Amino acid sequence: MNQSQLRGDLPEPVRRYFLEVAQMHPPADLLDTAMAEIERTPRANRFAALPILGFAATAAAVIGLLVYTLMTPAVPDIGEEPDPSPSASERASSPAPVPIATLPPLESLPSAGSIVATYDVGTAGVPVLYAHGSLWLSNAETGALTRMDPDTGVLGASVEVNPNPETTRYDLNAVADDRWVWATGIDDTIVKIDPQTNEIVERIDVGTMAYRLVLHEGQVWITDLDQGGHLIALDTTTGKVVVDELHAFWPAALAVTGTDVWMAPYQDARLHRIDPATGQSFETFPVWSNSMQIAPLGDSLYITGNQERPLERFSLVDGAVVARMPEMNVAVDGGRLFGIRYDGTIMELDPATLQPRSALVLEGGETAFGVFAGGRLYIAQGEGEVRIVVFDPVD
Amino acid sequence: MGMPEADPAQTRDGVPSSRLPSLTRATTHEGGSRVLDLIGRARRGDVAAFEQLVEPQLPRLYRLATAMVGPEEARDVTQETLVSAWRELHRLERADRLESWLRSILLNRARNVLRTRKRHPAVTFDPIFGHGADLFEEPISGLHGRWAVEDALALLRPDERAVIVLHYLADLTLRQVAETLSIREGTAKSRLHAGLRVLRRHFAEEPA
Repeated sequence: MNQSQLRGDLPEPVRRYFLEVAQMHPPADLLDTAMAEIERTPRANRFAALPILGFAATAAAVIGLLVYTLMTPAVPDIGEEPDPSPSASERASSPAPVPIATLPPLESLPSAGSIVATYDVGTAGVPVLYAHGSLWLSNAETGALTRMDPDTGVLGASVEVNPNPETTRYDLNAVADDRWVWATGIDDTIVKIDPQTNEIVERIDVGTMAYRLVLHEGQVWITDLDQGGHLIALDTTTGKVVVDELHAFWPAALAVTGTDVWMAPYQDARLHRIDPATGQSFETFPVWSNSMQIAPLGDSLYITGNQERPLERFSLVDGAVVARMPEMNVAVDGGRLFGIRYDGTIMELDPATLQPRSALVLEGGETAFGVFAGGRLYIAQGEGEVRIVVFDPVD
Repeated sequence: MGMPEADPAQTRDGVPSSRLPSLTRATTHEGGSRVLDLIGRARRGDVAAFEQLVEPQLPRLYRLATAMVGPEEARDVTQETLVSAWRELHRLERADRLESWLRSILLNRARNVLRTRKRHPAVTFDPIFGHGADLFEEPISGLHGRWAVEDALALLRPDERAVIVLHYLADLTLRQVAETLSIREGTAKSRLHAGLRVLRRHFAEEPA
């Protein structure tokens, strides 16, 4: 303990208490009891045994020379392809490598649809959610969620989710149930918004800065990317954190199918099937690293990310990635799958093969991902000042 | 403006991704080869190796648990930490971070305990024992003194308590505290000050 600090800062009773705690010894039988419990405890994921033995030998040699040694965990560097070897998954047995398909010449494809409107929304943000009759536009820098009428493009109420512009964050994301809108707040909170009044009715402490949100059976599930590796479930009725489990490699992408929760860490090349009761991973599958978002559709998960991470189709039936295309975001609606590339290309994709069926190239700047509302796709375009492009797909 | 799919590696604290520390690189220090060997054996199911790995960490973990959740539940939290570490050992990213990794697991467990714990009724002291500083003429481990401090600590948010315990008991710098809790140093500092304010107010309000 740092005695000088203690004297200066802590109230005397607390200082003395900590001094006594610092002298404590664990109960003599604690380790034995714990080890007996461990003997009865199965390992969560034996597949992930690192090739550490070889490195131990390396380390011994190198430490003998008094220099640093490298240890290589069984995860690829960012942007690397997953290891398809059997050891990488307990379930997927030696899946065949799935190549990244090449996009066909876009001019050879029929038109995917038409642009029916464009709305200049300034710095209101980009669409992240369609709920309670509005598109919800998000601007992570201003910390505001702004409602937009999808029919007229008229901006409505703005909810100041993050009033502190100094707070660094990646995204301001939101999900909605029948009653509330839930958004990623600041200072380790999730914000509960009443869409009838556009007021924040509660800031719920979840102990970490949330990144991605999904709803699952009365719970909001939350990843926190690089804020500590938390996978959290929040009971929407009580506002209590009911699951808080640590996961390595930056939990990021998140999705729900039926009773299953799926999570893919950003820095790892695995997709985790999560036990909703505990938040623990009980099955993993090799996927590309840099996952940021998972879109469920039918019997598939469509996994996207950045850093040239390919779009992947993960088959829930096969328990493996079965198709890959170059990097793009996706949006799903009515059983249809659309790909959106940063260069402004919108494509309807075959949900099985990911091959484009049709395409349309937007002009006017970089595009972000889009949100469907009423059968139309709302896509943000531009930097700083944003324009919402309303795309009406061909039936 | 912040696009929802902004590249976190590029935007993280404004540091280009190429300069971010790589998770695939780890340095070892003296004794590192033994630790690496034990981790490797434990990952392959060698319980005895795991015991050797965690035994030196046990006193510090137990003290941390005691300061976080109190002595009554410290044993359970420490034991749960060890079991969880055994189950999740494959998630240990760097061998030289074993201690901080175990500490993080323990703090996570402890914070869960604090969140779910029903606040126990405030202890009402019999005037015969006195209040405030007088209480601590007896050893702090005496029941009343300990209760008084634990009541005060129970007023803190779990994250504030974690910062205070890591800073003052585990003697970590605020930068190390921030790294352990995966928060920014400024956040750690603000939680420290907030927690200290609560503690000082609590004890200042005790009748003389």
